[in-house]
Amino acid sequence: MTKITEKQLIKSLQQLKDIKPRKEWALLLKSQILNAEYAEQRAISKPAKKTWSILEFLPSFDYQKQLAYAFAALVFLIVGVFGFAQYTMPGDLLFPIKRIAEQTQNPMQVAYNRSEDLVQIVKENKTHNLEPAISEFKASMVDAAKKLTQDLAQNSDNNSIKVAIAEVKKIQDNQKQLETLGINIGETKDLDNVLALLVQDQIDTLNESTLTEEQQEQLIEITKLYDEEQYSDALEKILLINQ
Amino acid sequence: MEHIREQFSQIYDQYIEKIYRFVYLKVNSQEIAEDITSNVFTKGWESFQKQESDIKNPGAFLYQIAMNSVVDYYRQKGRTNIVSIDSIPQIADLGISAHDKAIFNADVNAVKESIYKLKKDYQDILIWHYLEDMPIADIAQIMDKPEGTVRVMLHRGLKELKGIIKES
Repeated sequence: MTKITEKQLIKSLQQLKDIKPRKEWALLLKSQILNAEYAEQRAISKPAKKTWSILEFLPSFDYQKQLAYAFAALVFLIVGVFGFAQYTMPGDLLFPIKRIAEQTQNPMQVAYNRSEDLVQIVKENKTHNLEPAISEFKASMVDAAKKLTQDLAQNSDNNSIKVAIAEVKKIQDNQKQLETLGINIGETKDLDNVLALLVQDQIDTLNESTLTEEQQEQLIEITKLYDEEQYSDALEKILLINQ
Repeated sequence: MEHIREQFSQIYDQYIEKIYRFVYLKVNSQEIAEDITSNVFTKGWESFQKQESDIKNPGAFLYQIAMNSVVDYYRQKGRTNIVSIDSIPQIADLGISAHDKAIFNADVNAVKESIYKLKKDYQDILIWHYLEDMPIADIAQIMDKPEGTVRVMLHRGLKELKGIIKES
């Protein structure tokens, strides 16, 4: 080749574009580069001892993503366990979790929840749950009584008494329902004692007050209910006089 | 990580032919070109994982590795950029249609052999500009030289290539 124009030279240069790598080599190289690193990364992330890890189920993610997904899975698991625990009864494995979740609730509400649990256990004939449920109910009644004492010491106006009576009534209704189902819970004196003190205090106040003839008759009835230990009924009548 | 892998996979597909061709024209051997190209993309992938966000121009980045790899190859080989007589029949025996097509065309083969004899900088510029259609500005960026200088070098490279072909 002796003579070649610049145009021909450029054209010939451009024809060198036909030089290409072997396709199989190019594919193999790509696979080796990208997958060798991938295999290496997996080898590092695997523990020396064979243990079951949630991270092993996420092999295609890098370490940070694995952590993020593991954390999300953990949160999901915790939420799931707490959610599932809401349907447990005293004596069940996850019941302590339900009790933890109830710590933010009013003890009166918790006592009512336990009475509801008891009713359901009896209705569904879950005998293995019965004894723990009665214990839980009694414990919750002690807490409820303490809370009621504290609340009434701070504020014993008609509204507070009204709310307390409503809560107590709900629990007492369940107790009555249990009795009809043949379950005797036994003594739950703590709450009664609080109510008795409250009724006694109210009767003393009314005795010192000037009452109409009708109110005096109502006071006699209240005193009678007090003697019969029907404290919540007595309190309801006291509220009527105070209105 | 998958995102980075996917990105590099695309870069690989985009540049594997270009880098291989660039290296091949500088070493004039399929086997050596494959070794060096493999090294280029392996190093490229390692760097890409560490400093993905810093690599603004993957092409320039890979060409830079390729240039250094070729320099290293010649340094290790202890030889200058001289045509090996033995390499010519090897190329003819490649048995690959793309290669054959280029090699059996006398004109093109002469150009290929002549490029191999050019100075390194002229090789780079001619390959990038005429084979890879790279703009002067991009070449200037890779070579870290003013655009005017690149234009002059391109002209001189073409002239020198013409001279080598004429002598052959």
